[in-house]
Amino acid sequence: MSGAAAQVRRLLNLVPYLLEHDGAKLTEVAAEFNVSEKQLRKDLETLWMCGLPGGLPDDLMEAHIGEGGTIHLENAEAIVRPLRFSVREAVALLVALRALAQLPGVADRDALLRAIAKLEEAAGERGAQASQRVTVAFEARATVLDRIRQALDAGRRLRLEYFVPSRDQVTERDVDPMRVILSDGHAYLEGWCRRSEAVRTFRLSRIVAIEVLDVAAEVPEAAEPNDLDEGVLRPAADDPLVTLEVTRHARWVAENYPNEGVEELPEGGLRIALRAPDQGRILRLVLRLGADGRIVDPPALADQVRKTAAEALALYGDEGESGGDGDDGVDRAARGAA
Amino acid sequence: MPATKTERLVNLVICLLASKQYVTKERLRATLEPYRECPTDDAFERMFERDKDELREMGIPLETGTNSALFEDEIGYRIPKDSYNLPEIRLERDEAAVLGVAARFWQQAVLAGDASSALLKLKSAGIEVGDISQSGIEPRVRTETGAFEPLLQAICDRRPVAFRYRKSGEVEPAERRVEPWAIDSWRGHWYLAGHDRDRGADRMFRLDRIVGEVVLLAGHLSAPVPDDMDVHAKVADFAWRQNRNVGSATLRLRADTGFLLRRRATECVPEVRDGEPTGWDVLTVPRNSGMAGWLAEFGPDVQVLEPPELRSAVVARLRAAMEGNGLAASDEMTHTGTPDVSRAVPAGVQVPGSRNGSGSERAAGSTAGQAAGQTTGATR
Repeated sequence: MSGAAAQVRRLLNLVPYLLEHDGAKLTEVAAEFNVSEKQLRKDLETLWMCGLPGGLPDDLMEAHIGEGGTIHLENAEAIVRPLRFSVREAVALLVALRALAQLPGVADRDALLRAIAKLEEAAGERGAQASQRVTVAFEARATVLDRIRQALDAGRRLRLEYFVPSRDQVTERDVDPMRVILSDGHAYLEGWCRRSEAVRTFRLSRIVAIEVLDVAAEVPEAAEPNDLDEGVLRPAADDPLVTLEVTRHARWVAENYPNEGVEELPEGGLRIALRAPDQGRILRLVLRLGADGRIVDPPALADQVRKTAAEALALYGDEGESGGDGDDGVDRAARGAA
Repeated sequence: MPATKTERLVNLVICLLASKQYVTKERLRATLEPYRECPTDDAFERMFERDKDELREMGIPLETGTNSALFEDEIGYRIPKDSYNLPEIRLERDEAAVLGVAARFWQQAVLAGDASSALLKLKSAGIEVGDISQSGIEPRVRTETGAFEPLLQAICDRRPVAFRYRKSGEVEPAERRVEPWAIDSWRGHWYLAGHDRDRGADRMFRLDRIVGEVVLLAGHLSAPVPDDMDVHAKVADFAWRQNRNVGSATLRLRADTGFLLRRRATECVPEVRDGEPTGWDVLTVPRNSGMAGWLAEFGPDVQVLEPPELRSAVVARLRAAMEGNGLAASDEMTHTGTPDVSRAVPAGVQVPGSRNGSGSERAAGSTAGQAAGQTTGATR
């Protein structure tokens, strides 16, 4: 879209906005339209040149800036309504609202469903149809989400039994809830963990048991919510770097693990650099991969894999020492596409 | 000058919106100053054609027609108010309060701009858009893959597409021509459902396996998009279709380990030898086709007893993991847990048992922590 086209769109929306919000401040309107105050002033100057043809003084719009930067628009009856939704706008609105409404036990579900129905009607047939073609699902269990909501609403502490897969352990912790995050297809609880005295994120599907305690939640003022821009489970920059090589049968590793870079190898293989806060997770991954993956670096982790695999093989006695080419090829296919 | 062009386009919209009748080209040229000032008819024609295209690209419903059956060749233009105007939307307070979530939902995705402009239109229509963040829910979706944008466009415009696609486990991507129906995000990944023209069958694709660009093809879809298609169910079915239960498995599991296995077990009894508990349990679990990899993850905490093919599949994985990892490191390193870079094999030396000859490559200077690993940041 050209610069002029973007400005035309903005002006066509700015006019009804200013009619609806007479006396709105320059700073507020600039923020709302995501432009600088300087640009907004230019837009308003442009409006003085716009209006009904005819050349009479009353035909053109008058955008006055009053005391304290308040905007008053006159002679602007030519454009009283915003342009109807584009197909993409309809998709953006409806898909987001439906994704939230499909969550079991989400607050305001009833309001969401009513809003969706009204917006579908306003979106017109094409917009509403296209919006049906994009769906986003988050996994969350109703009971867990419901308890978290109760705790958030009442300002109570939660007691969780939480499963940590990399350690194969269920841990108990008291958490003062801050918010629920829906991201990457999962729901998470973010809160102040009393045990680690830090902000922690818990995947709802790993909460084994949850109880609302009769204790007021106390989130310290210094507790900073995680920045979500890079995703929820974002490795820290100082987490140790692990380099893996996988065959073409295990390319899914690059798809499923946030990584620091992927390099193509011959025969469709990949070299993948991962930042892993918890190397137990990588250890398990490499055991799962078998002949389809290996650790290149660090050597200590590769050794750990070797040692762990050897211990496991010892359980099988002679069988673990030689031959046998058991191949459960379906395991690979299960992750395939198309 | 963009400003002048902006004025011209806005004035054209206002002029055509204000008129109930079709406005002829001649009349537009006489009425609007920039058109009047065109030095030649050709210059005016070119400018007007471009302006019409731009308005249509913005989604403005510019109609062409004639006012009278008697003068059919007198083509004119108008923008009907009822096509242009956002329809009246009456939202209750609680309905308007939830809308703000849409903008944050797409914040990291290609529809971010569309979500904000849609909300801005609602605000311009006098709706007090609220923000659900007060109720503590923060939804996000990401569309990192470059295929999302063109596929979304193709779905909105009902156009066929072509792209190169690498199926799981294949070396080379293959050309696919697809009539896209729907895209779905499930467990954090985007999927495309559509009709594969060359295979003459319905297919599912993962967007992150599309290699290179998605090209929108000319022409229309050969068949209507199925109406009742529940894409989400299709995606779930697709991703798991080969993971059906196939009988059951019997395992030995070390006490206090394998939480997820225990949860799925249909039977779990402590193992007893010579009247003494061995510290192991014997479990019966439903077996699915992708189970060997999962069981290998448990390392020395799990021993598969039955069936034999599962047992040998797990053994094969473990043996491969043992043989493929850590050959270049000494025992001492394992004990101290401190990687000693100086012991790494020099580049170019073939390590016995390593594959692709790349076993010798070690990034110098790595001081990664011990495998026990400390957790930082988010709990996983």
